[in-house]
Amino acid sequence: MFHWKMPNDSPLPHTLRSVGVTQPSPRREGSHAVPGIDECLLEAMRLPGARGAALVDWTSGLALGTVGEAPGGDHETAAAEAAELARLAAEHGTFTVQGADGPPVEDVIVSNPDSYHLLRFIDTSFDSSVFLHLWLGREEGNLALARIRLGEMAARLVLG
Amino acid sequence: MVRTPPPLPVRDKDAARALSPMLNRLAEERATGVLVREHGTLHLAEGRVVYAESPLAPGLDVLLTAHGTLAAAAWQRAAAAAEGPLRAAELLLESGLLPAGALELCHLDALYDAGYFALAPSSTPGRFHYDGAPRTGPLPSVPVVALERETLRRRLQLHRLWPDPAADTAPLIRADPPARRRPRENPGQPAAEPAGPARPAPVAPRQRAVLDRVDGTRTAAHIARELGRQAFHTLVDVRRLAAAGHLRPLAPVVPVLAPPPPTAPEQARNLPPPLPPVTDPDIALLKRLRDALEAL
Repeated sequence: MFHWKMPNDSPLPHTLRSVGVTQPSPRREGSHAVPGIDECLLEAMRLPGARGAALVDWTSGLALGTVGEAPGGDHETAAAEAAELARLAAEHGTFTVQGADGPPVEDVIVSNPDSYHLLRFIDTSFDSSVFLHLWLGREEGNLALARIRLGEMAARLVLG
Repeated sequence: MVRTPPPLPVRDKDAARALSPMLNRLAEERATGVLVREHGTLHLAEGRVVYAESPLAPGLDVLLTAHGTLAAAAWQRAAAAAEGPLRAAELLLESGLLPAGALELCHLDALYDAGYFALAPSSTPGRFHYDGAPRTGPLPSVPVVALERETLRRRLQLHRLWPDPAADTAPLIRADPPARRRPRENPGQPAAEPAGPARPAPVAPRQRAVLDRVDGTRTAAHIARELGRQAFHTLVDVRRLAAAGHLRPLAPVVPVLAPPPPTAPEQARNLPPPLPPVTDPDIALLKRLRDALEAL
Protein backbone atom coordinates (compact mmCIF):
# COMPACT_ATOMS: atom_id res chain seq x y z
CA MET A 1 0.00 0.00 0.00
CA PHE A 2 2.70 2.47 1.01
CA HIS A 3 5.90 0.79 -0.04
CA TRP A 4 6.49 -1.02 -3.24
CA LYS A 5 9.39 -2.51 -5.03
CA MET A 6 12.01 -0.04 -6.16
CA PRO A 7 12.56 0.40 -9.89
CA ASN A 8 15.17 -2.02 -11.09
CA ASP A 9 17.15 0.44 -13.14
CA SER A 10 20.00 1.70 -11.03
CA PRO A 11 20.94 5.35 -11.20
CA LEU A 12 23.18 6.25 -14.10
CA PRO A 13 26.88 6.46 -13.31
CA HIS A 14 27.08 10.13 -14.23
CA THR A 15 24.24 10.84 -11.83
CA LEU A 16 26.13 9.18 -9.05
CA ARG A 17 29.32 11.05 -9.88
CA SER A 18 27.54 14.33 -9.78
CA VAL A 19 26.49 13.85 -6.20
CA GLY A 20 29.66 14.49 -4.36
CA VAL A 21 27.64 15.95 -1.53
CA THR A 22 26.72 12.54 -0.26
CA GLN A 23 30.24 11.96 0.97
CA PRO A 24 30.62 12.25 4.73
CA SER A 25 30.66 15.93 5.58
CA PRO A 26 33.99 17.35 6.67
CA ARG A 27 34.65 17.22 10.38
CA ARG A 28 34.01 20.34 12.31
CA GLU A 29 36.79 22.11 14.13
CA GLY A 30 37.15 20.57 17.55
CA SER A 31 37.09 17.04 18.79
CA HIS A 32 33.41 16.16 18.78
CA ALA A 33 31.84 14.07 16.11
CA VAL A 34 29.57 15.35 13.36
CA PRO A 35 27.04 15.30 11.82
CA GLY A 36 24.28 16.39 14.10
CA ILE A 37 20.60 16.63 13.22
CA ASP A 38 20.91 19.92 11.31
CA GLU A 39 23.88 18.75 9.26
CA CYS A 40 22.02 15.57 8.37
CA LEU A 41 18.95 17.49 7.19
CA LEU A 42 21.06 19.94 5.20
CA GLU A 43 22.85 17.05 3.57
CA ALA A 44 19.53 15.53 2.58
CA MET A 45 18.58 18.87 1.01
CA ARG A 46 21.57 18.64 -1.32
CA LEU A 47 20.04 15.62 -3.05
CA PRO A 48 18.76 16.50 -6.52
CA GLY A 49 15.16 17.66 -6.39
CA ALA A 50 15.01 17.94 -2.60
CA ARG A 51 12.37 20.42 -1.48
CA GLY A 52 12.22 19.80 2.24
CA ALA A 53 13.35 17.42 4.94
CA ALA A 54 12.42 16.72 8.53
CA LEU A 55 13.32 14.47 11.43
CA VAL A 56 10.08 13.28 13.01
CA ASP A 57 9.07 11.19 16.03
CA TRP A 58 6.31 8.86 14.87
CA THR A 59 4.84 8.21 18.30
CA SER A 60 4.18 11.84 19.13
CA GLY A 61 4.21 13.40 15.65
CA LEU A 62 6.78 15.97 16.75
CA ALA A 63 9.26 17.37 14.23
CA LEU A 64 12.63 17.39 15.97
CA GLY A 65 14.20 19.26 13.07
CA THR A 66 13.03 20.70 9.75
CA VAL A 67 14.67 22.32 6.76
CA GLY A 68 13.42 23.73 3.45
CA GLU A 69 9.82 23.81 2.34
CA ALA A 70 7.03 21.86 4.02
CA PRO A 71 4.65 19.80 1.91
CA GLY A 72 1.28 21.47 2.36
CA GLY A 73 2.97 24.59 3.68
CA ASP A 74 3.31 23.71 7.37
CA HIS A 75 6.08 21.58 8.86
CA GLU A 76 4.11 20.70 11.99
CA THR A 77 1.11 19.42 10.07
CA ALA A 78 3.36 17.56 7.66
CA ALA A 79 5.19 15.93 10.58
CA ALA A 80 1.96 14.81 12.26
CA GLU A 81 0.58 13.37 9.03
CA ALA A 82 3.84 11.67 8.04
CA ALA A 83 4.00 10.20 11.55
CA GLU A 84 0.58 8.59 11.03
CA LEU A 85 1.78 6.90 7.89
CA ALA A 86 5.04 5.77 9.48
CA ARG A 87 3.27 4.32 12.49
CA LEU A 88 0.76 2.43 10.37
CA ALA A 89 3.60 0.84 8.42
CA ALA A 90 5.61 0.05 11.55
CA GLU A 91 2.73 -1.51 13.46
CA HIS A 92 0.99 -3.63 10.88
CA GLY A 93 2.33 -7.11 10.34
CA THR A 94 1.73 -6.87 6.62
CA PHE A 95 4.60 -4.44 6.19
CA THR A 96 7.03 -5.57 8.85
CA VAL A 97 9.60 -8.29 9.32
CA GLN A 98 9.23 -10.24 12.52
CA GLY A 99 12.19 -10.75 14.78
CA ALA A 100 14.51 -8.45 12.88
CA ASP A 101 16.91 -6.22 14.75
CA GLY A 102 16.20 -2.55 14.41
CA PRO A 103 13.13 -0.86 13.01
CA PRO A 104 10.47 -3.21 11.62
CA VAL A 105 10.33 -1.21 8.38
CA GLU A 106 13.19 0.37 6.41
CA ASP A 107 11.34 3.01 4.52
CA VAL A 108 7.97 4.10 3.22
CA ILE A 109 7.66 5.63 -0.22
CA VAL A 110 4.72 7.65 -1.49
CA SER A 111 4.57 9.12 -4.96
CA ASN A 112 2.14 11.54 -6.48
CA PRO A 113 2.17 13.22 -9.90
CA ASP A 114 4.19 16.10 -8.50
CA SER A 115 6.61 14.63 -5.97
CA TYR A 116 8.01 11.75 -3.97
CA HIS A 117 7.92 11.32 -0.21
CA LEU A 118 10.55 9.13 1.32
CA LEU A 119 10.32 8.18 5.00
CA ARG A 120 13.43 6.45 6.32
CA PHE A 121 13.26 4.83 9.76
CA ILE A 122 16.29 5.44 11.93
CA ASP A 123 17.82 2.57 13.87
CA THR A 124 18.98 4.13 17.12
CA SER A 125 20.76 2.09 19.74
CA PHE A 126 18.55 3.72 22.40
CA ASP A 127 14.78 3.40 22.41
CA SER A 128 13.18 5.88 20.03
CA SER A 129 10.70 6.08 17.15
CA VAL A 130 12.12 8.50 14.60
CA PHE A 131 12.35 8.72 10.85
CA LEU A 132 13.74 11.08 8.24
CA HIS A 133 11.16 12.53 5.87
CA LEU A 134 12.49 13.73 2.52
CA TRP A 135 10.25 15.52 0.04
CA LEU A 136 11.52 15.33 -3.53
CA GLY A 137 10.30 17.07 -6.67
CA ARG A 138 9.39 14.44 -9.21
CA GLU A 139 11.02 16.16 -12.20
CA GLU A 140 14.50 16.48 -10.74
CA GLY A 141 14.39 13.81 -8.05
CA ASN A 142 15.93 10.38 -8.45
CA LEU A 143 14.03 8.10 -6.14
CA ALA A 144 16.45 5.18 -6.25
CA LEU A 145 19.44 7.37 -5.54
CA ALA A 146 17.63 9.29 -2.80
CA ARG A 147 16.61 6.09 -1.11
CA ILE A 148 20.18 4.83 -0.96
CA ARG A 149 21.61 8.15 0.17
CA LEU A 150 18.93 8.76 2.80
CA GLY A 151 19.66 5.33 4.26
CA GLU A 152 23.32 6.24 4.54
CA MET A 153 22.51 9.57 6.14
CA ALA A 154 20.17 7.92 8.64
CA ALA A 155 22.92 5.52 9.65
CA ARG A 156 25.54 8.25 9.90
CA LEU A 157 23.27 10.42 12.01
CA VAL A 158 23.24 7.93 14.85
CA LEU A 159 26.45 6.00 14.25
CA GLY A 160 28.73 8.94 13.45
CA MET B 1 -5.63 -5.71 12.38
CA VAL B 2 -4.00 -3.40 14.82
CA ARG B 3 -6.45 -0.87 16.09
CA THR B 4 -5.80 2.43 14.43
CA PRO B 5 -5.62 5.29 16.87
CA PRO B 6 -7.21 8.65 16.06
CA PRO B 7 -5.19 11.10 13.99
CA LEU B 8 -2.31 12.86 15.66
CA PRO B 9 -3.36 16.34 16.60
CA VAL B 10 -1.75 19.32 14.96
CA ARG B 11 -0.76 22.20 17.16
CA ASP B 12 -3.23 24.99 17.40
CA LYS B 13 -1.07 28.03 16.90
CA ASP B 14 -3.70 30.36 18.29
CA ALA B 15 -4.16 28.41 21.50
CA ALA B 16 -3.70 30.47 24.60
CA ARG B 17 -0.36 29.73 26.18
CA ALA B 18 -1.38 29.63 29.77
CA LEU B 19 0.59 26.61 30.91
CA SER B 20 2.84 28.70 33.08
CA PRO B 21 2.58 32.49 33.02
CA MET B 22 5.81 32.63 34.99
CA LEU B 23 7.61 30.65 32.32
CA ASN B 24 6.38 33.02 29.63
CA ARG B 25 7.65 36.02 31.59
CA LEU B 26 11.02 34.31 32.00
CA ALA B 27 11.19 33.64 28.29
CA GLU B 28 10.35 37.25 27.50
CA GLU B 29 13.08 38.58 29.75
CA ARG B 30 15.49 35.97 28.33
CA ALA B 31 16.18 34.66 31.80
CA THR B 32 18.83 32.13 32.71
CA GLY B 33 18.27 29.78 35.62
CA VAL B 34 16.22 26.87 36.87
CA LEU B 35 12.43 26.74 37.11
CA VAL B 36 11.37 24.18 39.71
CA ARG B 37 7.77 23.04 39.36
CA GLU B 38 5.83 20.34 41.17
CA HIS B 39 6.41 17.57 38.63
CA GLY B 40 9.68 18.61 37.06
CA THR B 41 12.38 21.16 36.47
CA LEU B 42 13.19 23.29 33.43
CA HIS B 43 16.66 24.70 32.89
CA LEU B 44 16.64 27.97 30.95
CA ALA B 45 19.43 29.81 29.20
CA GLU B 46 18.63 33.19 27.69
CA GLY B 47 14.95 32.32 27.79
CA ARG B 48 15.30 29.00 25.97
CA VAL B 49 14.85 25.56 27.49
CA VAL B 50 18.21 23.79 27.46
CA TYR B 51 17.36 20.85 29.69
CA ALA B 52 14.38 19.35 31.52
CA GLU B 53 14.07 16.70 34.15
CA SER B 54 11.18 15.06 35.94
CA PRO B 55 10.85 12.19 38.40
CA LEU B 56 8.12 10.86 36.08
CA ALA B 57 10.36 10.63 33.00
CA PRO B 58 13.56 8.61 32.55
CA GLY B 59 16.52 10.96 32.28
CA LEU B 60 19.04 11.17 29.49
CA ASP B 61 21.29 8.86 31.52
CA VAL B 62 18.59 6.15 31.66
CA LEU B 63 17.73 6.45 27.97
CA LEU B 64 21.40 6.23 26.97
CA THR B 65 22.46 3.40 29.25
CA ALA B 66 19.34 1.17 29.24
CA HIS B 67 20.14 -0.40 25.87
CA GLY B 68 23.88 -0.13 25.97
CA THR B 69 24.22 3.02 23.84
CA LEU B 70 26.58 4.22 26.51
CA ALA B 71 28.22 2.21 29.29
CA ALA B 72 26.86 3.17 32.68
CA ALA B 73 30.44 3.72 33.85
CA ALA B 74 31.04 6.22 31.04
CA TRP B 75 28.01 8.24 32.11
CA GLN B 76 29.11 8.13 35.74
CA ARG B 77 32.56 9.39 34.81
CA ALA B 78 31.05 12.26 32.84
CA ALA B 79 28.57 13.03 35.61
CA ALA B 80 31.32 13.04 38.24
CA ALA B 81 33.40 15.45 36.16
CA ALA B 82 30.54 17.81 35.36
CA GLU B 83 28.12 20.06 37.18
CA GLY B 84 24.73 18.61 36.43
CA PRO B 85 23.48 16.24 33.74
CA LEU B 86 23.45 18.85 30.96
CA ARG B 87 27.16 19.51 31.40
CA ALA B 88 27.73 15.75 31.58
CA ALA B 89 26.01 15.34 28.21
CA GLU B 90 28.13 18.14 26.76
CA LEU B 91 31.27 16.42 28.05
CA LEU B 92 30.16 13.24 26.29
CA LEU B 93 29.67 15.22 23.09
CA GLU B 94 33.11 16.79 23.38
CA SER B 95 34.74 13.48 24.16
CA GLY B 96 33.34 11.97 20.96
CA LEU B 97 32.13 8.91 22.90
CA LEU B 98 28.74 9.26 21.22
CA PRO B 99 27.88 10.42 17.70
CA ALA B 100 26.58 13.98 17.77
CA GLY B 101 23.36 13.05 16.01
CA ALA B 102 22.51 10.29 18.47
CA LEU B 103 23.22 12.50 21.46
CA GLU B 104 21.26 15.46 20.06
CA LEU B 105 18.33 13.22 19.27
CA CYS B 106 18.29 11.58 22.68
CA HIS B 107 18.74 14.96 24.36
CA LEU B 108 15.73 16.43 22.51
CA ASP B 109 13.66 13.32 23.23
CA ALA B 110 14.45 13.60 26.94
CA LEU B 111 13.85 17.37 26.97
CA TYR B 112 10.36 17.21 25.45
CA ASP B 113 9.54 14.15 27.56
CA ALA B 114 10.49 15.63 30.93
CA GLY B 115 9.13 19.02 29.82
CA TYR B 116 5.71 17.47 29.31
CA PHE B 117 5.57 16.46 32.97
CA ALA B 118 7.27 19.59 34.26
CA LEU B 119 4.47 21.63 32.66
CA ALA B 120 1.70 19.41 34.01
CA PRO B 121 -0.92 21.19 36.12
CA SER B 122 0.43 21.65 39.61
CA SER B 123 -1.00 22.46 42.99
CA THR B 124 1.94 24.56 44.11
CA PRO B 125 3.51 27.60 42.44
CA GLY B 126 6.82 27.17 40.65
CA ARG B 127 10.05 28.70 41.92
CA PHE B 128 12.73 30.20 39.73
CA HIS B 129 16.37 30.49 40.69
CA TYR B 130 18.34 32.92 38.57
CA ASP B 131 21.69 31.63 37.53
CA GLY B 132 24.83 33.48 36.61
CA ALA B 133 26.25 33.20 33.15
CA PRO B 134 23.85 32.43 30.32
CA ARG B 135 25.24 29.67 28.19
CA THR B 136 23.29 27.80 25.58
CA GLY B 137 26.03 25.25 24.88
CA PRO B 138 26.48 22.91 21.93
CA LEU B 139 23.38 20.75 22.45
CA PRO B 140 20.12 21.93 20.87
CA SER B 141 17.80 24.09 22.96
CA VAL B 142 14.09 24.69 22.50
CA PRO B 143 12.08 27.92 22.68
CA VAL B 144 9.68 28.01 25.62
CA VAL B 145 6.79 28.52 23.23
CA ALA B 146 7.68 25.38 21.28
CA LEU B 147 7.80 23.26 24.44
CA GLU B 148 4.47 24.65 25.63
CA ARG B 149 2.75 24.08 22.32
CA GLU B 150 4.11 20.55 22.08
CA THR B 151 3.01 19.80 25.64
CA LEU B 152 -0.53 20.97 24.87
CA ARG B 153 -0.56 18.92 21.69
CA ARG B 154 0.58 15.83 23.60
CA ARG B 155 -2.16 16.30 26.20
CA LEU B 156 -4.70 16.42 23.41
CA GLN B 157 -3.19 13.34 21.78
CA LEU B 158 -3.53 11.31 24.99
CA HIS B 159 -7.04 12.60 25.54
CA ARG B 160 -8.08 11.50 22.07
CA LEU B 161 -6.62 8.03 22.56
CA TRP B 162 -8.45 7.41 25.82
CA PRO B 163 -9.98 10.22 27.82
CA ASP B 164 -9.37 8.80 31.31
CA PRO B 165 -6.02 10.02 32.67
CA ALA B 166 -6.09 7.63 35.64
CA ALA B 167 -3.88 5.14 33.82
CA ASP B 168 -1.08 7.69 33.58
CA THR B 169 -0.27 7.58 37.27
CA ALA B 170 -1.98 4.60 38.94
CA PRO B 171 -0.54 1.09 39.21
CA LEU B 172 -1.71 -0.82 36.16
CA ILE B 173 -3.35 -4.21 36.01
CA ARG B 174 -4.07 -6.41 33.04
CA ALA B 175 -7.64 -6.75 31.95
CA ASP B 176 -9.44 -9.28 29.88
CA PRO B 177 -9.81 -7.58 26.52
CA PRO B 178 -13.27 -7.68 25.04
CA ALA B 179 -13.52 -10.02 22.11
CA ARG B 180 -14.80 -7.25 19.93
CA ARG B 181 -15.62 -3.79 20.91
CA ARG B 182 -16.96 -0.89 19.05
CA PRO B 183 -13.86 1.17 18.38
CA ARG B 184 -14.19 3.85 20.97
CA GLU B 185 -11.18 5.62 19.57
CA ASN B 186 -13.29 6.74 16.67
CA PRO B 187 -16.59 7.62 18.30
CA GLY B 188 -17.87 9.34 15.19
CA GLN B 189 -17.72 6.24 13.08
CA PRO B 190 -20.40 3.60 12.99
CA ALA B 191 -19.34 0.30 14.48
CA ALA B 192 -18.47 -1.99 11.64
CA GLU B 193 -18.41 -5.40 13.22
CA PRO B 194 -17.24 -7.94 10.71
CA ALA B 195 -18.74 -11.34 11.03
CA GLY B 196 -16.38 -14.07 12.04
CA PRO B 197 -14.73 -15.59 15.05
CA ALA B 198 -14.34 -13.17 17.90
CA ARG B 199 -10.79 -12.38 18.91
CA PRO B 200 -9.19 -9.50 20.71
CA ALA B 201 -7.36 -6.85 18.71
CA PRO B 202 -3.69 -7.78 18.43
CA VAL B 203 -1.11 -5.75 20.27
CA ALA B 204 1.67 -3.98 18.37
CA PRO B 205 5.20 -5.08 19.35
CA ARG B 206 6.09 -1.88 21.18
CA GLN B 207 2.83 -2.07 23.12
CA ARG B 208 3.52 -5.72 23.93
CA ALA B 209 6.71 -4.71 25.77
CA VAL B 210 4.62 -2.39 27.93
CA LEU B 211 1.80 -4.86 28.49
CA ASP B 212 4.25 -7.58 29.52
CA ARG B 213 5.33 -5.42 32.45
CA VAL B 214 1.84 -4.65 33.71
CA ASP B 215 1.57 -6.56 36.99
CA GLY B 216 -0.76 -4.67 39.32
CA THR B 217 2.15 -2.84 40.94
CA ARG B 218 4.06 -0.96 38.29
CA THR B 219 2.92 2.43 37.04
CA ALA B 220 3.56 3.80 33.56
CA ALA B 221 6.56 5.72 34.93
CA HIS B 222 8.07 2.49 36.34
CA ILE B 223 7.56 0.72 33.04
CA ALA B 224 9.13 3.58 31.08
CA ARG B 225 12.20 3.48 33.31
CA GLU B 226 12.51 -0.30 33.02
CA LEU B 227 12.23 -0.17 29.26
CA GLY B 228 14.55 2.83 28.98
CA ARG B 229 11.77 4.41 26.97
CA GLN B 230 10.36 7.93 26.97
CA ALA B 231 7.58 8.25 29.51
CA PHE B 232 5.26 9.99 27.06
CA HIS B 233 5.73 7.16 24.54
CA THR B 234 4.81 4.76 27.32
CA LEU B 235 1.70 6.79 28.14
CA VAL B 236 0.63 6.64 24.50
CA ASP B 237 0.87 2.86 24.61
CA VAL B 238 -0.82 2.66 28.01
CA ARG B 239 -3.78 4.75 26.86
CA ARG B 240 -4.11 2.74 23.66
CA LEU B 241 -3.98 -0.50 25.63
CA ALA B 242 -6.58 0.89 28.04
CA ALA B 243 -8.80 1.88 25.13
CA ALA B 244 -8.50 -1.63 23.71
CA GLY B 245 -9.36 -3.13 27.09
CA HIS B 246 -5.98 -4.83 27.70
CA LEU B 247 -5.25 -3.00 30.93
CA ARG B 248 -6.84 -0.71 33.44
CA PRO B 249 -5.64 1.44 36.31
CA LEU B 250 -5.88 -0.16 39.68
CA ALA B 251 -8.38 1.85 41.70
CA PRO B 252 -6.80 3.57 44.67
CA VAL B 253 -7.43 1.71 47.88
CA VAL B 254 -9.93 3.69 49.90
CA PRO B 255 -10.03 2.55 53.51
CA VAL B 256 -13.63 1.94 54.53
CA LEU B 257 -14.98 1.03 57.89
CA ALA B 258 -15.84 -2.63 57.75
CA PRO B 259 -19.40 -3.38 58.82
CA PRO B 260 -19.67 -5.53 61.94
CA PRO B 261 -19.62 -9.20 61.06
CA PRO B 262 -23.17 -10.50 60.94
CA THR B 263 -24.19 -13.31 63.18
CA ALA B 264 -24.20 -16.74 61.67
CA PRO B 265 -27.94 -17.20 61.01
CA GLU B 266 -28.21 -13.70 59.57
CA GLN B 267 -25.23 -14.40 57.34
CA ALA B 268 -26.89 -17.51 56.03
CA ARG B 269 -30.09 -15.62 55.26
CA ASN B 270 -28.37 -12.75 53.44
CA LEU B 271 -26.05 -14.74 51.29
CA PRO B 272 -27.13 -15.28 47.72
CA PRO B 273 -27.23 -18.85 46.54
CA PRO B 274 -23.80 -20.04 45.44
CA LEU B 275 -23.02 -19.47 41.77
CA PRO B 276 -23.21 -22.57 39.64
CA PRO B 277 -19.84 -23.60 38.22
CA VAL B 278 -19.24 -21.86 34.92
CA THR B 279 -18.90 -24.40 32.18
CA ASP B 280 -20.61 -22.44 29.48
CA PRO B 281 -18.30 -22.30 26.47
CA ASP B 282 -20.19 -19.29 25.12
CA ILE B 283 -18.68 -16.89 27.60
CA ALA B 284 -17.13 -15.01 24.70
CA LEU B 285 -20.54 -14.61 23.16
CA LEU B 286 -21.92 -13.24 26.40
CA LYS B 287 -19.11 -10.74 26.57
CA ARG B 288 -19.77 -9.64 23.01
CA LEU B 289 -23.40 -9.22 23.93
CA ARG B 290 -22.45 -7.14 26.95
CA ASP B 291 -20.14 -4.98 24.87
CA ALA B 292 -22.78 -4.53 22.22
CA LEU B 293 -25.30 -3.47 24.85
CA GLU B 294 -22.83 -1.05 26.37
CA ALA B 295 -22.14 0.40 22.97
CA LEU B 296 -25.82 1.13 22.30
